[in-house]
Amino acid sequence: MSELVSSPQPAAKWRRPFLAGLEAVEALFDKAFGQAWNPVRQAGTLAFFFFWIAAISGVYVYIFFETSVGGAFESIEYMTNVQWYAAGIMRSLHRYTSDAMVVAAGVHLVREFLLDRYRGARWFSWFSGVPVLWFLYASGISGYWLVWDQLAQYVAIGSMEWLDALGIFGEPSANNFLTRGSLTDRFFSLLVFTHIFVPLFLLFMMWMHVMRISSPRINPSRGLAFGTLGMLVVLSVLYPAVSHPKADLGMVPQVLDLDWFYMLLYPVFDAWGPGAMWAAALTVSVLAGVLPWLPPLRNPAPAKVLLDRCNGCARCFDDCPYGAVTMRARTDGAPYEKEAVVDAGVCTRCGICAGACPSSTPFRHGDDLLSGIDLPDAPLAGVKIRLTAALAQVDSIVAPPILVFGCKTGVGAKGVPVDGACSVILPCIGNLPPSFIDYALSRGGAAGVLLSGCRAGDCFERFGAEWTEQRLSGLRDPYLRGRIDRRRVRIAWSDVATTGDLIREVEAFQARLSTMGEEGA
Amino acid sequence: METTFHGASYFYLVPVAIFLPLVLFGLWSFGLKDLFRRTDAEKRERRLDQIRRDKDAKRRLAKSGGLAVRPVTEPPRSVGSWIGRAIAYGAFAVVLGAFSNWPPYAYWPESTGQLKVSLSVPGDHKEACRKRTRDELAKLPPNMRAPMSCSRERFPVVLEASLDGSPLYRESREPTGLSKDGASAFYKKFPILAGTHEVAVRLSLDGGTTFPYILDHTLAIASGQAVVLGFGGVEKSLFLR
Repeated sequence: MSELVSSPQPAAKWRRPFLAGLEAVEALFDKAFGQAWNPVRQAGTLAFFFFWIAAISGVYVYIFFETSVGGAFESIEYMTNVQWYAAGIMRSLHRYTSDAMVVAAGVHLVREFLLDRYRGARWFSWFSGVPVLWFLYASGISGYWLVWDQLAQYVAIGSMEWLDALGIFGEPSANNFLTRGSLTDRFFSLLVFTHIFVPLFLLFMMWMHVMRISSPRINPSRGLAFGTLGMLVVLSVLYPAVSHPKADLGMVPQVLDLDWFYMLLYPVFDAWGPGAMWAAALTVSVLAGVLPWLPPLRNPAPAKVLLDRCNGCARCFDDCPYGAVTMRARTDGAPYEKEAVVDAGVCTRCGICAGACPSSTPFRHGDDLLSGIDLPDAPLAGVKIRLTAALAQVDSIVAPPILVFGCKTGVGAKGVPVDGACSVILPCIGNLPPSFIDYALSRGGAAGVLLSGCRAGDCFERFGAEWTEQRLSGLRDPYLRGRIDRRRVRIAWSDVATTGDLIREVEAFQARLSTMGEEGA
Repeated sequence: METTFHGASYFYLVPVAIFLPLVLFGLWSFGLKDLFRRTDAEKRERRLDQIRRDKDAKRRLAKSGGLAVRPVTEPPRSVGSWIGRAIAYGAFAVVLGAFSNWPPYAYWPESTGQLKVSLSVPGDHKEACRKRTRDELAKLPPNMRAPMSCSRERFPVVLEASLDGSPLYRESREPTGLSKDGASAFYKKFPILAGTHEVAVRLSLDGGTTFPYILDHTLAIASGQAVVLGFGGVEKSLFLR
């Protein structure tokens, strides 16, 4: 077996300042919201939540909406001015929630891009996000048509002109808005129909977006949900949405109060024309769609099962956050019922499966460390070599030697510049079998082991931190052995958001270990 | 007899009563239920609570000393954090409220109206229709014995317009369709200063050779008024409406 000791690759250079900015923003929100309620980390779930609010408020508004050209505007005015206490608030809530959904989706998109969470097996989630954005915009814009005020007139005519540029209609659809009397109730009903069914397609695409993730999180924390809902309701009460003057196809609206969340590109369309806008929209969409496959292509080998070491215990199957491991009937004649199988197309190479494998122990004698399931490009044998080498270089006279296990996306990814401390970086902290902690303390020479990772509640591989906590607490196989002095093991991701925080944790740990030494413990 | 319910006609409530349960069921199935049911994290926590009650787990947990499962950091409860949250929510509300209808966009210049050219008209056939001979008709299947034979391909349509003697618009549009037998469509918008203008329009259906359709019109247009230049009507002529 090759002695592959390479560490997981760090973020690309151009990405680092943006990541630093993202971390700074998240740290700011951590101070106010705590890591459990941080809205930046839950932007995707907030987008789902806003969809539900928009759907429910939309149903209520539709009850009082008149679906005819002549009655639509008056019915909206009735809701806004007469039934302001209910339908008016619902109307405003519908609008502001739709705008908030654009913001949440945008933050989610930027965050996933900066975190490089769109390549490899994650391509499907990214790729499916492109039509989600298209349907999101179509849903919002089609909603504005229904008010049938001057803004609706502008948006509807602009939208039809844009579609007419495709040349797929025999007659330009913009001709439906040519003169007073051109727009019929029948065509207006089509617009109403559009605003009902495009959001349903949007919901379908949102489902597709998360379908390849096991236990997808689509709901924000309760506190965050109530907080954002309360904020939207207060906004709707204090600043209700109002309409422009009624649409008149014999006049052209001159000054409009655009909803810039959805209509940002309409002035660009006015300036460039439909052809250029189609070219730009399709180019951006295609580029966004192929992003997962653009260089530099980083596609390490997926987890690999070694059947002669696999007894079919299914711990890797239980722990895989992406459902990439399945169990099937044995094929090698070994006296076990099942064997693990890895779906390379879904495996994100996090290594949590290797951390769950009971065969992943560094205490074996006489052979290489071969786990029942492992990452070929970041094998656990390499982790053993690295931790041994790292501890050998630590000056244990200065301070009790601390071994920090970290992950490539966590706070300690760049190492810990503290005397007496060394670090070993893994693809995910969940890749660490508890037996390695035992090995570091009993054979490696470490006085203490500190586990660092992503910020609490934000594990890059979803469940690495959670599974590690449970393994160390004896609540999840494989357990940390009882003989280990728990005072020599520390978990540091709650309240550790920056390298500075981690340094302080390590120093405090060293001070504690020194005290233990003096106490003769 | 009362026919409305708080402003909504009972008639419109019927489809709502029929389709609303279906829509709600769909929303419930797609994920609304997750808002009311326990999240996966809560279910795991409950399962862990049950495991913790198990004796073996208690023994291991006792051995694990101070490494019980630590919950994700609870939201801070200090005054500063409440103020921070209020500021964050307030800022988000301000952003939403502001950019949902501000800044205003000047779409159309002031003191101008709009002349919208919108017409869809087929050009003349490139080859004149001719009458089929008796022998030609006999060779055709009975259901295809049309007396006239016309080529499919049409000429491009040319439209010229001038405003107060100056050229405003000239476009030649090819017929649509793979066989170039469809109508040629024009669509363009022009800002026109409010006031009175002389508009002259010529339309050719044979690629610009002849212009059988002519319109000369004195147009009085107000600021913000939209006027359409089209083609059609009973007499098949150019019009300004």
